[in-house]
Amino acid sequence: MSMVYIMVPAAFLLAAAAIVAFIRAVRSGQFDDLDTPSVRMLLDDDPPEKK
Amino acid sequence: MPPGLVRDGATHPFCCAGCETAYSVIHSCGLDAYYRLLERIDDKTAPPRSSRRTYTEYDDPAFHALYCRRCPDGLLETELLLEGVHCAACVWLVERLPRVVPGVIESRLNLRRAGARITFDPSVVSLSRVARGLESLGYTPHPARGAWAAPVRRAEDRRMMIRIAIAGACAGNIMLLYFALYAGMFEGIERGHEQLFRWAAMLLNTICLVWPGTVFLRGAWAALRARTIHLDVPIALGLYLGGVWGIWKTVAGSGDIYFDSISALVFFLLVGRFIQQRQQRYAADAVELLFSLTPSVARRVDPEGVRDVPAESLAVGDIIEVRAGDALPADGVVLAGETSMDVSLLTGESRPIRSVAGDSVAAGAVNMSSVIRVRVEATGEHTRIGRLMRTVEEATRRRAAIVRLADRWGAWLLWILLGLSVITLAFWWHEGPAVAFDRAAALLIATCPCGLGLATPLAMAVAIGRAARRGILIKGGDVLQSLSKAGRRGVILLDKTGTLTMGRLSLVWWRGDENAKALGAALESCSAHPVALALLRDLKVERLAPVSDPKQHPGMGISGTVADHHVVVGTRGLLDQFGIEIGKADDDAAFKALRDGLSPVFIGVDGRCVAVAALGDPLRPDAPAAIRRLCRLGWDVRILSGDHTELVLAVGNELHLDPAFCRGAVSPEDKLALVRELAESVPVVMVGDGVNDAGALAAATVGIAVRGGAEASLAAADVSLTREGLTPVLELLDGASAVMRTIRMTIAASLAYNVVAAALSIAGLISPLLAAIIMPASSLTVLAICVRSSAFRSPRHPEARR
Repeated sequence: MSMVYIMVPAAFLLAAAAIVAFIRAVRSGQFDDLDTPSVRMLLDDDPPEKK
Repeated sequence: MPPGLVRDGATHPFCCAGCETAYSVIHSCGLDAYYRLLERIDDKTAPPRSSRRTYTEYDDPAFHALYCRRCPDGLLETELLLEGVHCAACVWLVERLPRVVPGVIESRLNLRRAGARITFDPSVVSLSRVARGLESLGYTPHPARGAWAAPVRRAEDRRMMIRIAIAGACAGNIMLLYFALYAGMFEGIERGHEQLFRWAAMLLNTICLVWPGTVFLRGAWAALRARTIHLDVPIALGLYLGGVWGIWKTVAGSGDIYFDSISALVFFLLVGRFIQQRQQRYAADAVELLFSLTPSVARRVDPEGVRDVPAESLAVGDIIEVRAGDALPADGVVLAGETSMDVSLLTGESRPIRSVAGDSVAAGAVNMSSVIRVRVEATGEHTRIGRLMRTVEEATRRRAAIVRLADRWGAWLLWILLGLSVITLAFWWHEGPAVAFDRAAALLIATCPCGLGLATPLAMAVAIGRAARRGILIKGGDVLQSLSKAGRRGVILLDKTGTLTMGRLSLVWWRGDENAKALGAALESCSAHPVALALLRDLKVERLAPVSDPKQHPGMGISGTVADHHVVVGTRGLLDQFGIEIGKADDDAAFKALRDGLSPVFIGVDGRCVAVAALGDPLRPDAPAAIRRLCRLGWDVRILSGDHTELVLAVGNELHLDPAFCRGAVSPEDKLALVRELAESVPVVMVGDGVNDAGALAAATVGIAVRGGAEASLAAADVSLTREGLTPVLELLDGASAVMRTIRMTIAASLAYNVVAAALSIAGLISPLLAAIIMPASSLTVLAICVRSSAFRSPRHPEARR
């Protein structure tokens, strides 16, 4: 069971990596506007013709 | 689309020239996909309008300095608020702006704010061209005045999100560790592993407390320094005492630790606060858009012609031209032209005032009938409006900070908790100090007012959000509290013009020959006077007969020949001039009109007076019912207006209000003084729209600005309504009491949990596991009550639904 002594710090490292990623995402402005991107991604440059 | 407008042979029929222009622009840029998107999304878009504005004031250096930001690579960035943004298709179209206007580098639309951030190259394209481009797509742009504050707010939002993320990660991981610890409690756990988990949890909890948790510490510190206590104090006490106690126990290697509860507390409380903050900000953004709808442009007469400039760049001595329908951008003296001015925004007077050369006119007044030239006498802060705005600022500053309900509880809670822990200490002292301190610390952690800290922000956020969707924009949660508290004994002051009444001249009744309607309407179509506009609009004559040689008689009326009849429409004096006698019946009718506070207009045809029209500012249809309901709710309803006393009394009479409480001819300064005096003894709610109400709105306990109000009143008010009439006011009052009921319920629920926790910990029965169950249970109860709350939900006034 001494695996735990490695697993717990490893889990912490993973969590820390996730937090760093999130902080970078926030600082680059990805969370400033939570409404528009949800509709923006539905629109491609040329929607297919309706036929 | 009206069938009469469909042209044969046209592939796409249009309702108006504006739509056709917008279509051709969209079409010529190869952006037809917009229409396909619109069909797919099924939207209720209003037809795009084109005003042929030139937007040249957007190119003025003064404008650039105010609203633009220079990027390092020589590009300019600006934010424009757009009218008529609805849905995904709008996002798509606005963001294709670089294809419509060459020189625009990027255009990003924020759907919620209806604000477009536009980056453009000033050496290739001017800002006015960008604005015209946006307008040709059907979105009228307005400069975003609050733009300078945006980066600050964005930074604040980002910091908050990072805090929540860290608190969440810590709380989540601690919970995982605690699963192992709790399982170990029942199944047995290796000593070394237990120690590892405890130390790991301690590490995470410490991170949680020294980074995101400092929000509460700072709040508590600020409160203590101001010698008050609010909810942050007991929260910080519980969190940090529990944290330090836990570290002590971890280092000692045994004893109960509550890290899971503490970190989860930090996380939940931060989320609650964030939600409330965002909701209030959305309301503030919506108000900002209303703000920017007022024009900031002046037409300056220069030697080389008339030029559009920003109102901020006008100087004393400049000569400006004011077209019919425009508002005056500065105080001044009329040089040439003769017109009638609508000063209702400034003074509340509903009847237009005649202004001729030599008369002084004030900024904010609206030119109603013809073009005038004005020499500027005072600008900006020195105008009458500017001075008024300063009093508004003063009144806003003076308003005492309202102690929030949960904060008042916070003070009580702190003393009760401290008292209880002393009792616990004394009670367990016989078991030895170690046990006694253990129990006391457990008490402080288990009863940390989490539900309480979550209850108010959540309930407020839910209510403010729902209210905004119904056109009631609330700037802060404390407004709802003071409204519901004022309910029993409060005074509600209503402005007359625009609040109780429609705020514009219309035909109230017509007495006499029905056939004369067509003649009168035809004649009035030749004039731009407010009386003429009102008659033309309300007589609803289908086909207007041609008029020959119409002649205006300033201040009296108009005469001319319509369909071979000589027609005169105007005052008694004008008819006298033409030698037309007014009969007994018509005379009585005119007298009755005057008594009701209406203005009589006589219609003479071929030397005979055939009809009397009474014009006035009619009551809003929902006003009588709304006033009756307000009175039933126990409000002391009064009218406070700048309009003529007899008009105010007539309205008060119609609404069955005590004439002693219907005050007319009150200047804006007097309004402010009156409200201040009243507000010292009773809660005062002021409802108004004009600049003349702004001071009173700010001084009142709660100020409510109604739709179509002036910028000043929007800034001063705590609540802005985007729907017309008094029904939203009623909805607001109902909603406020419903919210407070919800909040009291949530507080009761969370206190009940706290009492249970306190009893258990005094009895020495609490354990970290029990605390970990009670804490989320109380938060979930609070959440459920908030979401289920009836505030601003049921359409209790169905006639108000649009």
